[in-house]
Amino acid sequence: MQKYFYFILLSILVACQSPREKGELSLLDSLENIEIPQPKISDEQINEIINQIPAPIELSAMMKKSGAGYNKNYLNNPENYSKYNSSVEQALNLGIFGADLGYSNLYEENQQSILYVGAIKEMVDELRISQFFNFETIERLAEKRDLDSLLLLTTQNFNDVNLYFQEQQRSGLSVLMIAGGWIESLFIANQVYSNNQQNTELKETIGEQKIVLKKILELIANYKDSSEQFDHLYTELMSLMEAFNEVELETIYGEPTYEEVDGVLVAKDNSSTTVIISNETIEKIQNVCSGIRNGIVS
Amino acid sequence: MRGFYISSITLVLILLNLGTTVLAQCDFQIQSQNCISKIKDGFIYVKSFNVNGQKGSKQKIEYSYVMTKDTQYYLNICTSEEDTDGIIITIYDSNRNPVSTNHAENKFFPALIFQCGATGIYYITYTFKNSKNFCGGSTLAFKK
Repeated sequence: MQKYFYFILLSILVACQSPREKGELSLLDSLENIEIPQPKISDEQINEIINQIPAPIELSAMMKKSGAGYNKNYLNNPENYSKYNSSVEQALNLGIFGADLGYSNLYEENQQSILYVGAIKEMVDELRISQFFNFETIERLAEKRDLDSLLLLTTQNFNDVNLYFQEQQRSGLSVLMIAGGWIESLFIANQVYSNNQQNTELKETIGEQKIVLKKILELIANYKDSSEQFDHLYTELMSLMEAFNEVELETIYGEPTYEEVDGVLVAKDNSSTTVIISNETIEKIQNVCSGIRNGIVS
Repeated sequence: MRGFYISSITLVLILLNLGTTVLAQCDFQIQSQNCISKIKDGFIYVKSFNVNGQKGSKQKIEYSYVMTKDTQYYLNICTSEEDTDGIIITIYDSNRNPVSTNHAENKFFPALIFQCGATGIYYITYTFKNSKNFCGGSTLAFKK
């Protein structure tokens, strides 16, 4: 009698375990094989900084709004996925392919998007996080040109991966993914600007990336002493910061004004930022950024 | 045998209690999915925030994000109640000046739009005023 009771109890407990929990166990085992150094500051502080970094899609949206056309030559070749063997290379290039996918999605370049989905699939298989991506649906949405759903799903999938890495105290991989995504979006912005140097708005946006780079350096600084690859990335990004140090940013605060529009409270920020960036400085930023980015993708 | 039945009943009661505890937890995923479906047309989803006041023991939840000038940010709040359940969203700039809120003239708005004028770090805080559940999900979206 007792034997049956405990069997039933055990069955209930096993049945109550969600599918994701089961998947997580095997993933946890596999993640043990990926050596990612631990940060100096707490995971909570690391996650807080990670959450501050804007999504690469914001820069892509800015470029599209400026009237710049799509150019696949700016992007990493999706066939390059086979070059990336270490988990550091894979996480960095996952961020890069993610930014390229977002850029392609935004321009509704569905054939290119599908190629990037393929490259991302290879990267996430290697990093053993494929369960967070619904590739069939992503491809279907790309084919159907359902832009809103496509952008939503891919962003959610990347957010889920970030959250998962953070929960598993593997924030180092999140940091690399985010750094890769940001480097790629800055690289694309630089290419777009090179072909349209009258675009002062884009020039200023590039200058404002100084704020984001500062945050990324804060993150990587926590891992640099425990890993040669992190240390190398940190040194390279510090050289980019040297170029950005010549950018002057000044913000003047203005009281916001409010109005209700269709049941939503709209606040107009009356603050403003002045960005002072010389042509020499932007050229220096472009050169250093290209060197770093090309080093990661090659 | 009697002892076995007593321990069985105790175990079943523990399991039932565990179930109700889980049900009473703040399910941020459900609320944020709800919020995603309410994002205003034309805005692109960026991320979701967990607003768990732990039944009132936590009075303020804060996140931060680098916002870019000339960008409109849309932020909404969803709860298991019909309204915002007293959850107040306030956005502060890097100098902690308030720049946007969903609470004005004693009215709670389910969403706000912040037309950002200066690039920098912004702090998104969630506080509670006469909240029943201290629980919600919130999503951030943008439009250029």
